[in-house]
Amino acid sequence: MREKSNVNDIDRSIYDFRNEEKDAYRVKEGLTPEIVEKISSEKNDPVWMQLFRLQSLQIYNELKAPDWGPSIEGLNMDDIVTYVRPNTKMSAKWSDVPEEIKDTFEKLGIPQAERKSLAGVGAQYDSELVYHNVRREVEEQGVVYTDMESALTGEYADMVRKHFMKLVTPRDHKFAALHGAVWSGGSFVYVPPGVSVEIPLQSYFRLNAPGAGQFEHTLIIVGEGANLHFIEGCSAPKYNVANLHAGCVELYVGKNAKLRYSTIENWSKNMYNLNTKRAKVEQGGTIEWVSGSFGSHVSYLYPMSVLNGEGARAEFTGITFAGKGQNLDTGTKVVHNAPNTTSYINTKSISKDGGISTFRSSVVVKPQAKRSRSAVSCQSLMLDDISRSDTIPAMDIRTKDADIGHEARIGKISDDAVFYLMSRGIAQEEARAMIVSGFADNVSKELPLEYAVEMNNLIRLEMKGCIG
Amino acid sequence: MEININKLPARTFNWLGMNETTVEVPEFISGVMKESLPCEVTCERKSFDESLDEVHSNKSAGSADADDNFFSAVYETGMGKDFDSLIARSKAESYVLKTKPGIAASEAVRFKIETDGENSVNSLIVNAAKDSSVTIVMDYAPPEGVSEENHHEAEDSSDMFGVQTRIEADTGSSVCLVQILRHGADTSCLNDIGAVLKDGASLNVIQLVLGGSRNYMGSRVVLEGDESSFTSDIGYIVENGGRLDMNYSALHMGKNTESAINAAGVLKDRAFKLFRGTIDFSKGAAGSVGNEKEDVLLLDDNVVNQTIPLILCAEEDVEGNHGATIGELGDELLLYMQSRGLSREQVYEEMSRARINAVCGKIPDAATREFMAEYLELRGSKRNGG
Repeated sequence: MREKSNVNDIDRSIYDFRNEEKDAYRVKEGLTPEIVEKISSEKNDPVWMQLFRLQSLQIYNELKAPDWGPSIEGLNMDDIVTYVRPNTKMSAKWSDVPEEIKDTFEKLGIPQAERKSLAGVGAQYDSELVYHNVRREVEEQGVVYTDMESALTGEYADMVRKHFMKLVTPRDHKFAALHGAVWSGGSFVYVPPGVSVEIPLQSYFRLNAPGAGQFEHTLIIVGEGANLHFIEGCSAPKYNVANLHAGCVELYVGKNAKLRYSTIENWSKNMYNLNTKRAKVEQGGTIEWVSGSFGSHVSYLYPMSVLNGEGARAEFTGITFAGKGQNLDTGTKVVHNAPNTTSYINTKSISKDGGISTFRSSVVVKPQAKRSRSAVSCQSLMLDDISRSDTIPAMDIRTKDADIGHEARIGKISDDAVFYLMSRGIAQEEARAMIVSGFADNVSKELPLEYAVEMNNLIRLEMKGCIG
Repeated sequence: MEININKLPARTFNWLGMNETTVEVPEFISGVMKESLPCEVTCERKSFDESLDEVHSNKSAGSADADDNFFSAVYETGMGKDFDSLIARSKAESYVLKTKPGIAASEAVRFKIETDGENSVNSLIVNAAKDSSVTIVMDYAPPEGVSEENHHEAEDSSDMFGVQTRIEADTGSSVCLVQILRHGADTSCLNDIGAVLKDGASLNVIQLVLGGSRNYMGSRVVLEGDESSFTSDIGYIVENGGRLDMNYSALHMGKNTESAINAAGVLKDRAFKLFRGTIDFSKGAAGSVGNEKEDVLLLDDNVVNQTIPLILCAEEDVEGNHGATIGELGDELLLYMQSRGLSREQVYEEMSRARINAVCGKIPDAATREFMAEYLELRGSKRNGG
């Protein structure tokens, strides 16, 4: 008999509650020009956006689905409802939000987090924002934090038009085109030059409707010398039909500015998460991605950093936990497009219970990116022999004057480490739990305390002995 | 005619252009290799199709009831099926080399492949019998008296030759394959390897890529048997408009198997290099270890260096590692060498040669090592105007 250790699945009960569907309006399933026009009309789009949506749909129909990565055969766009409007308008007061929706966000801890540790909060329910608020002192600094729809027609309309889907164009890939056609919701953030937002802003996305898609657009512009930490969280209850998330995040980081973008992704296990995130970083600017991927049935997620100005810098810290029924294909992309740029990528992945985790990355160093440096480290932990873990990192270096390092490691929990801990009087189960928890530490220490706690709750690596 | 070769075992972003390579190829004719054999091994010639059928019929006892798909997957080469078809169409004959059970070849088997511009293709099949051992040295070079110096830039070259080597290493056997690519700078090469290792078998592949305009290298080794092991050492210098396109993979199927793929090289001028390296652990390959290491020295600003090292893992109890360092020499090392009286150019020349010498040093056959030392010396002095 050999003693085995079990790592339990993530406890999802706090995310899996469902609300009755009381939406005010929804389009038919499928994707047609009529549906796209209907969404546009429902949202009172300006004319250029109406045209943009239809052009994106055309591109969507032209492009092929990716011939690499996890299978998305179970996703049938004819079954997906691309727009579901909740039965409320956006408010800046939680008290105005319908009781049931407010209750949802309270269970997820959003209002409490806002009170304690956030400079502003946006809460999206299905296809629309239901709550958006920013602290007065932050507003007084000139920081704009609003829903995308308001930004599209308000004071910052020109700025939005100038940047919207310019970094991630509909031609980028099929699901970027889909996003361009049916996007709804999301946040617009503008931090004026020199302004430092001391505490984070957060947007939380909740998808309640079964068989629906969520296509929020996040556009953040951080001015020269400014500083921001933005957090996004997402979750959904589990249904027996496929749900789709094809959001888009575009981040513009100005000269000597700094943006940290943290994500705790916890979609339900019927979700196809085909999300696109990209940052363009100007001279001396910094983008820091902190990414925890725990949910979804299938995920394609590779936040990309385009280091466009001299001395620009990108850091990516990520963890992926793939359990039963999950095929999570995650990683990052970096383009060094200017001299003295730096990228540092550090990822961990855990596979268990038949889960498939793939780390996929690309580091491209252009000829003009002299004296650039990149270091990539990816480590994968396999917790049983029915799971799978792959690493697929690519490097394309086009100047001699670059310093590129890469290391990857796949393995199981080290017997030596377990033995060492046991020799210090720690029980085997506890020793294994400590090792697995420590493996995830690099991400949790990058998060604010409240979110580190949430992440640790997500992992909930309960180890117990059994006869195996 | 175009063929698709060197397909990545797991595809990735298409825009990177690393998933496979499409090559324009001429019609090939069957080539001739000059062989030199020790008395302990035999070599006969058979049609490529016939010899391939024989390879497929040599099923190990442990896998005799496996289906055809299994065998076609196991016996695939690094370059892939398009290259098989190309060889079959050329009506090439295979050289089938056999060792005797329990016998170690007293000398290396030598094959000379003369790259004389006839667009020829050769096939070598090695059957290493149980507990035998053999070293095989394959030298790809222009005919005597023909210079291998640069005549054309890569894009102008049209001459091409191909070599496919398939190895079946039976239980406890040991094979060392040395391939020296020093063909003319106006010649392109398709060099392909496919190997299957049974219990306790070992394969050591040493490759030196020193010539040619466009070189396409495929290698796929299946560690089917328990405790089988595979090492691949590649040393290369790519210069001018040269292109080196590689696809190496080690598929671990047996328990306690070991693989190591080490590539070290230098890129100069407008060189292009793509290294695909895959360690693939199948379910059941418990206790196995795979390591990949790449060290690339970039000497000029117009070089293109692409690297994609994969670790694919369907087994918990394994260890897979990859490491890569890509770039110029470190400033400290450069300063130290310059303080010893070497110019910057000399330092780079020495460091380039050191990478090749390190791979040459792993060749077990003393005669080949000596030959390579002389060859590299002569090559160096020619380049320095001597």
